[in-house]
Amino acid sequence: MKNIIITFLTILIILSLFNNVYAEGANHSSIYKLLFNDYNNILKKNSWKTTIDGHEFRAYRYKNGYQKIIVHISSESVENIVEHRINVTHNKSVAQRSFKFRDSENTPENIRRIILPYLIQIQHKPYEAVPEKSYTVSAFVGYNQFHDRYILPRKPAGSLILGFDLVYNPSRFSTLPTEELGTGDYLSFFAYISANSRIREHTYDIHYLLTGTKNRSSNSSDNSIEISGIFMGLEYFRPEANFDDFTWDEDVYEHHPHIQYFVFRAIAWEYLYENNSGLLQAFNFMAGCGPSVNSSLNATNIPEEEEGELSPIFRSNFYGDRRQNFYYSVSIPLKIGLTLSLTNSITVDTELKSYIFFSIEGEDAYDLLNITRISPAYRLTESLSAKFSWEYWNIHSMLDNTHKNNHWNRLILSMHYNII
Amino acid sequence: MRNKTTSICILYKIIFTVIILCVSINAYADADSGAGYKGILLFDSDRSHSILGDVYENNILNIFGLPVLYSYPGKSHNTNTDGIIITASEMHEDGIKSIKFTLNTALNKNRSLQIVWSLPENADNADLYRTSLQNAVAGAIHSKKRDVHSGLMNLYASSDKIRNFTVEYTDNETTEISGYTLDVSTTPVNGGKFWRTMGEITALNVIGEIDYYMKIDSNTDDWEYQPTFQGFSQKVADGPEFDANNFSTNVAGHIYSGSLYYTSARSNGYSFFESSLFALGGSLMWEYFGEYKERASTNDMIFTTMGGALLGESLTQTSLFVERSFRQSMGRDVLVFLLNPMRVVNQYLDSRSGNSYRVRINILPPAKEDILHMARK
Repeated sequence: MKNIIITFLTILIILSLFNNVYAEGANHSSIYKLLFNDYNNILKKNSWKTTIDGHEFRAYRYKNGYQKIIVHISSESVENIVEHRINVTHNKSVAQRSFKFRDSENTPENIRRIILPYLIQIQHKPYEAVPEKSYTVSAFVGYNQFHDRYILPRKPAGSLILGFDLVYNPSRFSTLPTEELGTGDYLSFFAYISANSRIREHTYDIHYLLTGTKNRSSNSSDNSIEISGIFMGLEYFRPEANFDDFTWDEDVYEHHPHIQYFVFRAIAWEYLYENNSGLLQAFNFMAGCGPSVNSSLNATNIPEEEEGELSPIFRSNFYGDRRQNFYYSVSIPLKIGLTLSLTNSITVDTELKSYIFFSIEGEDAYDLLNITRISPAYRLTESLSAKFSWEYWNIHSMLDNTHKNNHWNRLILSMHYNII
Repeated sequence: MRNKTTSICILYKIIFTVIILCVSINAYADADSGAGYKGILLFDSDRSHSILGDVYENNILNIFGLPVLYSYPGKSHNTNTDGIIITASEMHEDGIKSIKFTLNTALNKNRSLQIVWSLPENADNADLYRTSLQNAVAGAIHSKKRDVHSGLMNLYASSDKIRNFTVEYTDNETTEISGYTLDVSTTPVNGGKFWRTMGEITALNVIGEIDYYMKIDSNTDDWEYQPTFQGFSQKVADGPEFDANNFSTNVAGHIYSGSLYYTSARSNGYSFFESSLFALGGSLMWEYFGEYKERASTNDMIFTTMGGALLGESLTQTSLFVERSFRQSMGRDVLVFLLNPMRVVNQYLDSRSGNSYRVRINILPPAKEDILHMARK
């Protein structure tokens, strides 16, 4: 009995190698499956993500914006003619075509020969593109000033800043409830420079998705989208004061920035949520780690005669013309942000950023930096908003049991223009 | 026990027979026998401008194992053989000279195949003439053995050079295909241009070297090695270390140069991770050859590679946004150049190389003699 079963299974396997669905009269579902499998193999090579669901084939990709293809096949037999109707949606472009076969010619081989080329050409045909909508971009101009102990500035020592904020998120216009996102399917890039010769300040912050998922809930009461996944990122902050009357306390070195950092987030987990049903509600969270470079209060405000005693972990001490200090570290950055629209015109944006930098060199040193920001904004027109931001910066530096603390306030007044 | 052994023997025989059968079928199917064609006839419509004559003399189509004949107007030739006829003629269109190639042959079931393509007349295109002719003949042989469709589907699935593909049916509801059109790229559509990228990265490092020597006073502090083979060996043996260069040089300058390496590769067709490897390559080239007198820097290599990749990708997306969102103007082009100069350079190089051609494949109804007659004319 056992041998019969083995022989039977072997013959079954052998027959399956010859693919019995080639037999005339195979049912439509298996024909579609073969057709869709062939189509699937071709699209996957071109970075499409696909799903096959009986008579329907879905594919999407984020190349040059968002592209979606849905193919639906239905069949009908009248007398000895079988008609296969193909409905194709490529983004918003819709096409339909029928293929009629005699019963005797309605074989999988014929159907693939005739219909597969029709499906393949879809990805090359013009479609209603949505690439511009993949981007959300705003530019801003503002005035920015750091102060020490006081919230309101005592001296007019700020700088004009020019910046922009770009988010590339092609998945925000896809209506599929769940999508797998790949490398580069989400990117945000925020940067500004100060246009002032006395105080120069440069910053940028990049979030780049490596892999993740998008979930969308779209109904009358809930219109939300959430993206979560593994990101990579880069953040840079460096101010340079270039005048004598610098407002910070104990300004021993007028050219000496108290704080500067650069973080390469080699890996970070991020969660982004946005709900647009009624008033905007948005939330984001990020936790990551990676190599970094940062300054320390323990190498700031050191009298020139004591500089030689600085810890060797500090690079580019205040020797010669190198007016800065920093040490190499590993950092753990955390970020939580919340945006709420109170009315159609007023939005409040809050953010807490926290960084801990551990020295990777010989000495026992760390720095803890916290930045809290509250930014109410008023929408003047459809695309123009006025924003006021107050930030509180607090830093704690430790080097060989020497602890130092400092904190600053910062005010930013800015006008934001939504380009798209 | 004996029964069991017999059953297993039968089983093995079945499996063995099936394997032999499959191998034989495949061997038969893939044999490059010329699919029963008796030869290939090359016909130059203008003998004074011999294109196919060169193909004939250089034995370019002999790889198929079929006799190849060459002819031209006035020379008698036998067209009664069941073969492949290829003609070439010079064309002038919009002041541009090109060579039009036409392949005609009879397929099974009395159908005929015609493949037509044109290539710019250019001495540099000799390689392109060769590969396109070989591909066309291979397509004709495959089409006769199996069918045009399976040949094309195989080609489409395996080629990374097809930019565009369309199929035409004889009418709206018919199940007959009358032809296909392919836009074929001379370089891989999704693949990258390796040598161009390497050349650009080397050029960027040469520019960096010039800048380095223009600021030589601020760089001599870090010099440790002699510019000799022994000095280089010592540098390699010492390995990299964290350096003490200026903060802005380390995390702004190096990251920007990394972004140039990255965008060079990205605009030459490479993916994020592939382009990151080019940024690493550019960084290694700079650390070991550009700054050959200095100790290689660990922080520079990390930040140039990954910082360069992330900044480069951000600048790529920003420049794409500008390109897609604003009408073409001098201002837009300048802005794109400032954001992503390597993209502009490579777009220019791509536009100069004119790197795709169109192939039209016609499947003609039974009219073998007509086709042969047409080709003869």
